[in-house]
Amino acid sequence: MTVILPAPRGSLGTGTGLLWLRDMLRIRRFEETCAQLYSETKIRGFLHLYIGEEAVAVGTMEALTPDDSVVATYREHGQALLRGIPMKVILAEFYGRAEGCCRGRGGSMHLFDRTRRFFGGNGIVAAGLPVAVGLALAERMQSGGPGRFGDPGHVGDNVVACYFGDGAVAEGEFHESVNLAALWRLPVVFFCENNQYAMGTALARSHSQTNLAIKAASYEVPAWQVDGMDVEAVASAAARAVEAVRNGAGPHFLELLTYRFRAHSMYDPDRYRDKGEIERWRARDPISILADRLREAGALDDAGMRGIEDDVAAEIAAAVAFAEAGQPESVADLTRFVTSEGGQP
Amino acid sequence: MAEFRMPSLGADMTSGTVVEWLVKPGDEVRRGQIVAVVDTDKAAIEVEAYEEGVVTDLVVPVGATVAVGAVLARLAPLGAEVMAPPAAELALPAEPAPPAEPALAHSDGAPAVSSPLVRRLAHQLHVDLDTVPGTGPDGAIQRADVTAASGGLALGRPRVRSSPLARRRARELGVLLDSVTGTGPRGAVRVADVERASPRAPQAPTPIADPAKPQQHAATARAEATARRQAAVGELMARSKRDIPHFYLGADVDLAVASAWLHSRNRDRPPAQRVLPAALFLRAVTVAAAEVGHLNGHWVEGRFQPIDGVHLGVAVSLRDGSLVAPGIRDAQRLDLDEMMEALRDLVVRARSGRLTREQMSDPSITVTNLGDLGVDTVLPVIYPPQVAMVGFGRVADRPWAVDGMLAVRPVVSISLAADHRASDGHRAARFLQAVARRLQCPAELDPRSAP
Ligand SMILES: Cc1ncc(C[n+]2csc(CCOP(=O)(O)OP(=O)(O)O)c2C)c(N)n1
Ligand SMILES: [Mg+2]
Repeated sequence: MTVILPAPRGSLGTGTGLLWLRDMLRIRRFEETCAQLYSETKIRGFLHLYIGEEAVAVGTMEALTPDDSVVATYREHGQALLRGIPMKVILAEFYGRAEGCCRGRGGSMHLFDRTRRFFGGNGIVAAGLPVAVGLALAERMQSGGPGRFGDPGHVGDNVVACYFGDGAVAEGEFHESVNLAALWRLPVVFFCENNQYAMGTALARSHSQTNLAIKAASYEVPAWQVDGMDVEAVASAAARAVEAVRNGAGPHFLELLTYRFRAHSMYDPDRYRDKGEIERWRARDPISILADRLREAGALDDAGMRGIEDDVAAEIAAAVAFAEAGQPESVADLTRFVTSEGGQP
Repeated sequence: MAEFRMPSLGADMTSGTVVEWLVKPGDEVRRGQIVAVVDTDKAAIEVEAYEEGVVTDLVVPVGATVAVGAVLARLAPLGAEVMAPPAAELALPAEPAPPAEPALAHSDGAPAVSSPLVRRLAHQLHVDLDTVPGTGPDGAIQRADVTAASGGLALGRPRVRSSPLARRRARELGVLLDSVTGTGPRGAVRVADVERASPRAPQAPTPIADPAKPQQHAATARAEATARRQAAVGELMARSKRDIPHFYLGADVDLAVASAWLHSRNRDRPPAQRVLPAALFLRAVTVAAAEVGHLNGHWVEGRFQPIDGVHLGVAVSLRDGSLVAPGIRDAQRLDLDEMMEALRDLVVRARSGRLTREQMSDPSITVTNLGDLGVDTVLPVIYPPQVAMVGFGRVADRPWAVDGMLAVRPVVSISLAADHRASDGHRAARFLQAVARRLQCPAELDPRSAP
């Protein structure tokens, strides 16, 4: 019943492959460091790690341009990094420093950068969906006129990429948003990061139909499942979907089948998952899958791998130094941005 | 040399208890490897090493609670030769267990906070919410409080709050959860409590080579004591069944009047002075036993010896699951409030092993109440040398014919086992009738409330 597109073998330009590998490693190693910093009390608040799901962000964001918009969840460190927010600025945000992308006010769940059209993480499950549909409506209104029933869709719209978890698909907001986007043929691509669990709730415990693509398809949205552990498969599916949306075909939906290797958040004993299940998914680590393929293709050797790891380690070390040196916002600024100052801070 | 420290897993975590070491000195540890299990106020969590190396020593033993940031273990660089330290080094003294938090009672006069769900449950179980001490935030009454209070709080088996891991650990170590003093929120039993209650480390030095292996003598000793008690009771019951020609009578009794009366009586009183239905049952049995002869006394040397006062035995379940039936001496002298007080005292003392000599002397008739365990009807076995035992089942809403109409009434099933050598069906029926009648006139069981 699960339809997983085979990875289009041979399509992998090794140059692109190495970039993907580097991006996935940046996310992985950065978050590993964050976990450590969290346990050392340097980072406070919530911290949800993306480890295991990196291929989803890396493969899908490959299809986006800087003019497209991105809306993500509280598990958004990967998307934020890929969108170009510097690692040091993200880490400073986690540290609660004024140098952070939201002056240290947002923390891990609320990364935001309007200049990069990164419209946030969001602590509320499914709350990003209406935001994304609204952004898409704005695109439509600015480029060609109001979206309305029977609108044929416009060629050349910028695309809004909306990320959300399997848990969000069980929320009413998902259904209203997808319905509206489909009705008005808005330029949204829905990327469902199905990591099989919403906190401790396994998919089958909360969804009568566990094939989430079928749910989306009921709104007349082209939808299919993709192997979210294979960055090539993700990239090719995302490219197809985003192109279609760009060409006015209306919203598309990808269900990216993936898995988080770590607990839901730092303070989660993770007793609801079988160790064997975690091991089976770890055997499909997106980083090893890609690295093995690149080695097979002769594009990667130990030295090459070490080079990437060293670069990433240096970037992380610099980010930690930057965040450590950062300052908390001054108390005098406490009430700033409670109301709009009419522009970007 | 690297150090592995107690991690902070949330802003509200200030300390943690090491409940398990998954590595030992000499083991190589990789980055990200799970090396220990730590119990926090919220849960037991597996914690990982952030550096690689070889474990040189485990600084904190299993069972010890330390602050976030405290060094738990030291690591030498990979490839280093590591000697296992002598086991004794590891035996830190155990932290004394802080006293268990007392259950909160909602403050006098203030209305107890309860959710609709709790109210419905209370209604179903015939629990008067005014009599229930709440253990939730601000003294709010929670479902567990209601369940605990149903069918006579004092007689039921107490519910022990515990974490799932603590329960698992208790099973592994053969520790009875009921016997453990909990130090977690609201007295919840945590893994550390279970381990403290078991004889294994940190009280006794544990050989580091196998930190997870339990030593079991205290648990074994406790199990043996339980087994001995069980054997003694078994012996007594076998004798009872062999020697006593039991016969049984039962009656279903409408408690609508009694419940309403109790509710209004409790309404204006502070929680400590409120009376549970169980006390009313005991009063009714006492009065009936004094009134009807041939049931209150002992069968000795081939004949029935009536006893003047009513020494009311009450079956109490202990934390290890066994039963004792200590007595309330001269129960006929107690009014309803005193009966309630005596019942509370009896249960508390029985469970803490501090029964007075008087409470341990032979009762003249015994009551057992299994209603809160969902039992409808109890068919008791008489404790020799007594000649009767009264059982109360659960108070449940039942269809009930009243004046030719069908009504729903709270009904309790009362049963009597009697010794045919000492009494007969006629007397026993009179006794049961007397109990039922008394329960229809609750005010009479409470001389002080008489106008
Ligand atoms: C509206 C709402 N309900 C509940 C929560 C609590 N909550 C936080 S994360 C989460 C699970 C969401 O799972 P999913 O959408 O699958 O995302 P994942 O964490 O697996 O990436 C829940 C229920 C919330 N943040 N918002
Ligand atoms: Mg999920």
